[in-house]
Amino acid sequence: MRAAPIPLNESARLAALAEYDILDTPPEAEFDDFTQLASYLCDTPISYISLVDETRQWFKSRVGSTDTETPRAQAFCAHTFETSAMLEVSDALDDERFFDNPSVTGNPNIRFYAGAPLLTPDGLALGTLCVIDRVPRTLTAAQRNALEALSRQVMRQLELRRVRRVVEHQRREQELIVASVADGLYGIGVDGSINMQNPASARMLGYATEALLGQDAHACLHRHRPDGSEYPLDACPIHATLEDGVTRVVYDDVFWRLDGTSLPVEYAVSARTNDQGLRNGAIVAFRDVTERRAVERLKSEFVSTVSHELRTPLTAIRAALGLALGGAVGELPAKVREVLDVASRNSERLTALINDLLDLEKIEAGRASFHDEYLELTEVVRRAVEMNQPYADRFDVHFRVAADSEPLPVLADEGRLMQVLTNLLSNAAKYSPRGGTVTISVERTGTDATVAVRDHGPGVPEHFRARLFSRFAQADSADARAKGGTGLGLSIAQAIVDRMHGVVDFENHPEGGAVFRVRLPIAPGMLAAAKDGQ
Amino acid sequence: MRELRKVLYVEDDDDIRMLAQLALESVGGMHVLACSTGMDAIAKGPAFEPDLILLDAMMAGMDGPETLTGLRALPALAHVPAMFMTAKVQPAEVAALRATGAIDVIAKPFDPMTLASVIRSSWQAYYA
Repeated sequence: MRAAPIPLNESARLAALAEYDILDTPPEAEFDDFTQLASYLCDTPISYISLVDETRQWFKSRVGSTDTETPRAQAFCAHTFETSAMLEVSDALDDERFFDNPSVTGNPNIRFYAGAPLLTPDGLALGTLCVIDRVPRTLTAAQRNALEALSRQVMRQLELRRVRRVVEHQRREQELIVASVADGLYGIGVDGSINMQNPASARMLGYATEALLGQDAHACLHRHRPDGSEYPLDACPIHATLEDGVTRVVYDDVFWRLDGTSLPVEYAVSARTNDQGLRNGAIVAFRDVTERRAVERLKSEFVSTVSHELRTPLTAIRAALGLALGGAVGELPAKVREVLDVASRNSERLTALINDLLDLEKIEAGRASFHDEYLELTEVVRRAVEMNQPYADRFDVHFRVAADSEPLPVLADEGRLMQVLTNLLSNAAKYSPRGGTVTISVERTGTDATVAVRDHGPGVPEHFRARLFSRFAQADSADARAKGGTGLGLSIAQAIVDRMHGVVDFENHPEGGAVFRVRLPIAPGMLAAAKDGQ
Repeated sequence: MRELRKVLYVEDDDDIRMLAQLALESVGGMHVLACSTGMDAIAKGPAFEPDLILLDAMMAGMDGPETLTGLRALPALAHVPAMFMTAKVQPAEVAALRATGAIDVIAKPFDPMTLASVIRSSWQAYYA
């Protein structure tokens, strides 16, 4: 007997076989159908689906035999691995490879063998679908074709079985993730009823795990706004996502618990689709933000209290210095005036700092009121330029406005927008060379309106770019120009523009100087009007 | 035309009280009765016959609005215009002070050299 040589790709072959996780599994009807068919079509008493591992061939399915496995050395099937093609042995007694094989000389007394290899999509042979007879014979061409076709079907079945296992595993993993995350998750159908909920959601909302299933999500969790007023369904972002499929994120809302208390949340709602890609509901992921809200409130109170406490002694200092310098308490010697001037300037700066800090805190906490109205951006820019020209005159700097004639309506709070422009214009003036010009352009950029303020100063130093918008950021604290500011101006400008759904950024102009840009969306519904004006 | 001469001023911070009084008297030429508590103002106010009541908003004990209520209960002071000074300058806080009937709210820190003229013009606008 000559055992089949070990194929060169043996380790890859064994790894692939292990991946199908088929060895020593119970019989399955899906596979038995193939051995039945093979033995019927080839008219043989015996048929196997044989899989060959390191030491044995194991039969996933068999007809006409009770063997479950044989040693690999006597496996006919292993001989197909050399060519990955079908092997047909008409009479084993006439074949030097097999004549003394125990499967030939004894049970099951093989004389005829035909096996078609089971090839993975990567071409690795796992075993065969084979037919066996106890008398010598040959297959017809049609039978050979049938056996090969069936072997390919067996392989597809193995593949299907593997994919099913992977999918099942993924499903279990997903269930585990959904059950383990700290965020609440629930799913709703198109009718708004809850059809899935994770334990975190149930816990946070105070319901038993299954209690919300089938209930209307809006009615149970979302029927009132944070202020307790009625929350109409057609104003609900979750409902809107059910309608249009657009993902929404809401940072400031409450869900209502079973016991009637409210749960401050931020949540994201995304549309779900069925296996045909049709929208069939939405998934809501939410987070309890009670603690964060409490911290934010504490911070606001702290900043407000500190500012007030600082303001009181500052009031006295400023008043004392102001009276002395104003001559209200008598003539001052020149040297005394000089040092009191220093004290006075610094008390002014401290006042500005406290005001800016308070302002920034207020905007970021969302407590600043913005009275949005339709504004013609170019007009606001012209007013800001006019207002800041006296300041620029101190540095002998000239502002020049270059605006399109196109109207650029934006929805913004005029006072706040002026504050942003004033910040950019005063910075540009401060950092310009004496006698320099600052160019302010206003133009349309796609669906946005952009104000660009370009100076001819030294530009933003490389090392400072990343920090430019951070609080108390000033490139060079020894720079006399920086000393006039609080280091909060750009942070405030950014916080304001953020609130207006815009962007503020900058770049150094290739020909020198810095360009600061404020981009604001052209007021919704006014785009067409903006175009008409062209 | 009426002249703003006499100011009844209540402030619990000794330093600020001294400085504001100096600003109103030396710079503004007004006559100031400075009190450190609301009770003090209620006791001395009517005899002083002020043209204006100027109150610090945040005071320990009786605060500015409470002091104003107390002063308004006195027939002699029921109709004298009042102003607040405050370090709390958030719009909501200013609005709350105005709601008490004050004719103006002065932000702290104030400029001592212009304090008198700011107060005087508000006062004149009220009578105009």
